[in-house]
Amino acid sequence: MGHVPEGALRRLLDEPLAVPDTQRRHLGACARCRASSRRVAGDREVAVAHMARPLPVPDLDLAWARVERRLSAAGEVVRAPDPPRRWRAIGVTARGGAIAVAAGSLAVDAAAAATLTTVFAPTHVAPLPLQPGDLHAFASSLGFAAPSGGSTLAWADGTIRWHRSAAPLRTTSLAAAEAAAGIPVSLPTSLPNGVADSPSLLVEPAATAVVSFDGAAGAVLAGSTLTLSVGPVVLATYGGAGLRAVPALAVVTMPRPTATTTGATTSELESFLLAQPGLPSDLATGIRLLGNLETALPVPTPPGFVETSTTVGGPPGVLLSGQGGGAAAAICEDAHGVVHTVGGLLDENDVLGVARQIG
Amino acid sequence: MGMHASHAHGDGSGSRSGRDLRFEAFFRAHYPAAVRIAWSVVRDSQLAQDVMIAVRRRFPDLADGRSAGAWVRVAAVHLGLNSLRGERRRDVRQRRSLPLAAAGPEEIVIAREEQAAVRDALARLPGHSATVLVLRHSGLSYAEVAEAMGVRAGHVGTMLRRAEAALAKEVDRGTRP
Repeated sequence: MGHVPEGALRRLLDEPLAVPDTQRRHLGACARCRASSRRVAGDREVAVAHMARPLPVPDLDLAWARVERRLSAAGEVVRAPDPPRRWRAIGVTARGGAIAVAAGSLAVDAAAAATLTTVFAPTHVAPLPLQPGDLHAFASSLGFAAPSGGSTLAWADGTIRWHRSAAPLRTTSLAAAEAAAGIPVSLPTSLPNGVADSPSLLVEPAATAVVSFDGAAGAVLAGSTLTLSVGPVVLATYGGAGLRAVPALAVVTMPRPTATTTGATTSELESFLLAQPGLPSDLATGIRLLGNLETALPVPTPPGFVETSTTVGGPPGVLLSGQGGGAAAAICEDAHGVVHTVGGLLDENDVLGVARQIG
Repeated sequence: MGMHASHAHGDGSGSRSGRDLRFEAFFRAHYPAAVRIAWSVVRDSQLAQDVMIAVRRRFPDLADGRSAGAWVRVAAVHLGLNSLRGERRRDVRQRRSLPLAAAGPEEIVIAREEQAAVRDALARLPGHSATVLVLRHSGLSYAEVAEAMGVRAGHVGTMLRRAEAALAKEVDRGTRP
């Protein structure tokens, strides 16, 4: 076959499974194509370095309220006349109209939004050792009541509401999963021995949890709201070569979770958390050792696992090795704001080998 | 926080039409992508809201949500690039809309970021190159980029490769003493 086109070399960096095996094999054997691939990768790195920026975390409820108000003010709950077909004319028209109709109503929103603060946008992962019963003790210390149904959960110091943007999607198509999740998903091209090809993909949609602190949370936090945004999450599971029904390897890809508050600072939230009377002391120490809570994504280390800091491809990662077998590795790719986790009933070298292909 | 909006209709009051409910669901599904794309070009989340207003006008019944979703993405990038290229017009518009721009929470987050060099480089690139760069690097898959731009997914790699090579040259030119 001829040399691999540069477009395919480029896609190989993002969606390797979308590139035909023949081209991948050719690349492995052709020095000229490998040199081209390095040039392509170099230009990609330049683009990533310049295009990457912190992902904004839109407050969907606030944005929706504002757009709804603009539409209502413009009387657009009924069908509007067809706009010009060119996007440029449509957009400019919309913007001009928006300025006219929304000027009076946005003062309230401005007051609310002016205090919104990002308190969590992790750039790296950090281990958080857990002892048996820690999570139960932690939940109890916060006074969680059993869910009463619906999307609201009461706890000792306020309420938690959550919202999921869509239904989960199961597919075997990487393109479909990426389209549904809206994030690029890297999967390994080379699998460890004993792992079957062709993963099953599950896309869990983005979810938002809104924690409202009431007076019981103390004067500092009372009235504050913490909004935590997680997902969408793409879970790729690979069966065993001999027993496909049993997952042997799982690869999880998700945007880094983020949190914003309406005024409370990270240190105020940390102080609140650490002051909970039922919080196990080991867990409190582990939280303190995480360092800057704004940038550290905790990776829970369950009992029976040993955590090791490692480097996967470039980003720092955490490797968890199970004493009874099994391993997992997690990295946060800061350039794209994407968190990758690889785990399975595998040797830790195999897990790291997979993580290096996708990190 | 404007949390009340998403719950006012969830109590079975039936006061909103199916079209309104469809649009809210569409908004919640596609607005984050519009914000990401808008941010990739200009620090102006208001633009993403403008796009959502416009899509409501263009696809009032959302009979083809997939096309509308693709339209949102391309409209966000094109509007952003249009703003970028018309600096003078944009400046005027930003001054006029200052109260709006100051109101969005995303501005507060992103106001710390300065990306002048890449914005200049983007503004100098051909339209389709800048578009594929922005769409891909704001997190869209190749399939989504292809759908938004009306090309085959197999062609996206070629377009992206050319665009990244052009961007690297522009950035290099822009930073050379």
